[in-house]
Amino acid sequence: MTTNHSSADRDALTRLWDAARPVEPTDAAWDALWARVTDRLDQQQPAEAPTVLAFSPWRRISGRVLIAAQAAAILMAAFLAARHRPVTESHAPTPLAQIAMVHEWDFPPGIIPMIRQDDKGVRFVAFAQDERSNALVGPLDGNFAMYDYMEGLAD
Amino acid sequence: MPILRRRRVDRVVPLPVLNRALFLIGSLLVLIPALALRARGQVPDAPARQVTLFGVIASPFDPRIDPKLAKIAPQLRKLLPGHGFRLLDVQSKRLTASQSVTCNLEDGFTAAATLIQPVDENGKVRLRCAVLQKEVVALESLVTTPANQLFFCDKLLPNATRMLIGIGAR
Repeated sequence: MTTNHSSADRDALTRLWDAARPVEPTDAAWDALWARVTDRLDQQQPAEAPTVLAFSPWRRISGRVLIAAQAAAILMAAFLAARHRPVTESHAPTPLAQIAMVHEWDFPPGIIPMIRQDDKGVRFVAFAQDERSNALVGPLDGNFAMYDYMEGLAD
Repeated sequence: MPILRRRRVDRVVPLPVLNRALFLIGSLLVLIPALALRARGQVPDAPARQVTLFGVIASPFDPRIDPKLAKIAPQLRKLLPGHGFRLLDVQSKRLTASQSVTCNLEDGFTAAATLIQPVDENGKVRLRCAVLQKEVVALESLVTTPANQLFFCDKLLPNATRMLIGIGAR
């Protein structure tokens, strides 16, 4: 197939196009067309927006769960921090204790120690443990038996 | 010719993937402290002692023995011969360091024992013992004592009766 056309052929085609071509739309026609298109798009905007921006129920639920989980984590961390706080051992006397003199005692084992306060002052008195004085059971020393009994009485 | 504007319909972030990632992070934030708490539960508790505190009125004028004290009357009479005894209060509580147990006695007296050190370098227990009268300390002692051994504070009262406070830790 050849692409060489004669001048007569080109003139004939031009005449045929001039006779058959549609009328070019006017500027007013173009403006009207684009106005309709813009209006249609503006009318569709509310319907289109959710398809782009809306969250599905799953997303909403997972978002809430996430917020709740983070809040729980913060609360738990605060709770752990409070419980982890080391207990400081205070040897300082209480304000009330500052009124009275604080006496220090180190009791040896195998005795019944007593801190006695009377008109002679505060002093230490030691009583020997006597197994024969045990009024409860067996060969336990009296101090131990008395301790057991009073602890049981508290319960 | 008017130019048709392009509308933005592109999705920048894949939200399901982001949500799942955030949910995973949130879950880890909960799980890690929970596991730490569980692990702490497996750690041995802080050293503690069962501390028993009781108060008795000993009277040289009334030789009767409170029925609750009948079983230990011989031991009490050894401490204070010629006295009758009446139990005022007895309390026993498991304490860790700095915790206290108190007894309400009569005439505005209160006895308190505070655990200072459950075990010292010699294996003994350190306690602070106080007798308070109307919230004013009348007698206070810092005591180091072997465990399982009662000791007493004996305070002479103005009416010639005695307040006997027994304290022990085990």
